Amino acid sequence: MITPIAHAGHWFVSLAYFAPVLGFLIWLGLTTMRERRAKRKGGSGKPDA
Amino acid sequence: MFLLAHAGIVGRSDLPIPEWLFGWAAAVVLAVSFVVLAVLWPQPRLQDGGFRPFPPIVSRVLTSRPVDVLCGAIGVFLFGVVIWSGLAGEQTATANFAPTFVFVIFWVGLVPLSVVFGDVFRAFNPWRAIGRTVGWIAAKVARAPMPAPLAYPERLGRWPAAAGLVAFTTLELVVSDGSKPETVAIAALVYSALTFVAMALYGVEAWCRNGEAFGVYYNLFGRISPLARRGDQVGLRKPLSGLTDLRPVSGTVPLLAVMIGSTSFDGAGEAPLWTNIAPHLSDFFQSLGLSPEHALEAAFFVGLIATIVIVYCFFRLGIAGAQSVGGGFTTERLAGMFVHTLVPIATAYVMAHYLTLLLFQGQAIEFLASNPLGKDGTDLFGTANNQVNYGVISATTTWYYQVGFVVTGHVSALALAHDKALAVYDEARLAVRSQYWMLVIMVGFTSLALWILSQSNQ
Repeated sequence: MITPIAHAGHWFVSLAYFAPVLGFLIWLGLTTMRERRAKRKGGSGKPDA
Repeated sequence: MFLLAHAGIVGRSDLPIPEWLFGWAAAVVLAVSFVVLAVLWPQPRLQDGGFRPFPPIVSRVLTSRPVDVLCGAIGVFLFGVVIWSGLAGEQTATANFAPTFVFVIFWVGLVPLSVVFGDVFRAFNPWRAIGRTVGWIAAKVARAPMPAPLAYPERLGRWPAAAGLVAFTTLELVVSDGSKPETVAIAALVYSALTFVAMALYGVEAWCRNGEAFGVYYNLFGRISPLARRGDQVGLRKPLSGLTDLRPVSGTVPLLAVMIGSTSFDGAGEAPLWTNIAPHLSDFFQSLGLSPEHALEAAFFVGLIATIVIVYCFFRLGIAGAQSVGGGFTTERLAGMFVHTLVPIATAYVMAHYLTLLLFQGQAIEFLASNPLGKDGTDLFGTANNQVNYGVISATTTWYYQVGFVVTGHVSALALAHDKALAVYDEARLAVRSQYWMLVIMVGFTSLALWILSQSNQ
């Protein structure tokens, strides 16, 4: 039990290196969702003939 | 690798911030670069390299036949010394000329030389020199034009080069006695035989351009250089612009994946992630009947290929994301259009990972040149008793250089991608949105590079 806990700190530090990638992926996901929502609103906002 | 590839083994205890925070800072630099590019780089600038030739006398000298013959002769001579010392010399890797010359001076040292001075290897390529010489002699003896070689198959593309690099990195990173001088010499002879057969089939220049692994490898790095040759003219062009006319033939993306993936595996090989997995893989292969030595080699080969595949898949995922923004391009076409952006990343990986190998073990060529066979009593240039000076660079300075290489390489890649997007997308909006995905790819490779570098100092 002690070995996994002893190595946990090491894994956390390794994960810290990839935190920016995760951050950018989340930002990209949010940006994409926002753009798709804006496109849908723009399409449904057309006035009737 | 057998040699002191990770000679920065004295800990980096005097950094002002933790190593992982350098990774975050590098990501911020990339994000800021992205914004700066979007604002200050509104038109493509690298698609036209702006070639400015040197004075005619300079070009005439540099492209002259005597210089070409001399460079080829030097390449053949050095190749001969590698074979001779590998077969006849002391079989300890660090006491013999062959392994240090091949794995340090040739494999690593030629990369910065190519980035600065262009495709210098083309002139010194021993296989090209021998092929052209044999062709010339054969034509003189036959007193008639030689039959035309076969047309190089389009579908082969750069696949032979990718396969050649996989074979070389397998020798370097997988084969247990891969750094043994005799193994290096025999591998060089086998590679030569295959290369000469291919040259006989497809022609010397066609093979060197497309399939000869090292010629293709150093040509890619040489495209970063501001120095270029166009026919009989040598001159200057915008740095990085040589990459914009890289033809994305079949096999180009796998080739770049091999280049980045093999360096990644070399570094990640010391990470706990791999050192935990390797014994289990080795046990599996032993259960299939392999000897312990071969089982370990099989495990390492699986690791090498897996790393290459991971790099390939990561790039293709990013391209799939870029394709989703629109523009009418297939993922295949987009991958081909942006594959050249991986070359600065490959450069960054090589320079960052092998910096200390070049600076430390590279010095050994001084005494190995005086005593190539490693036998007592030989001292051709009076330097046989010289020693490596490990004080040339501290571990902390090494880390700063490594981070610098990684950031510079990835910012260069971002600039290339931005420039290409402006050239191929009709709408600036689509160009910028496609680059969001390239930014994620660059941040991913940056994080991977710095993590691997940190692992080599555990």
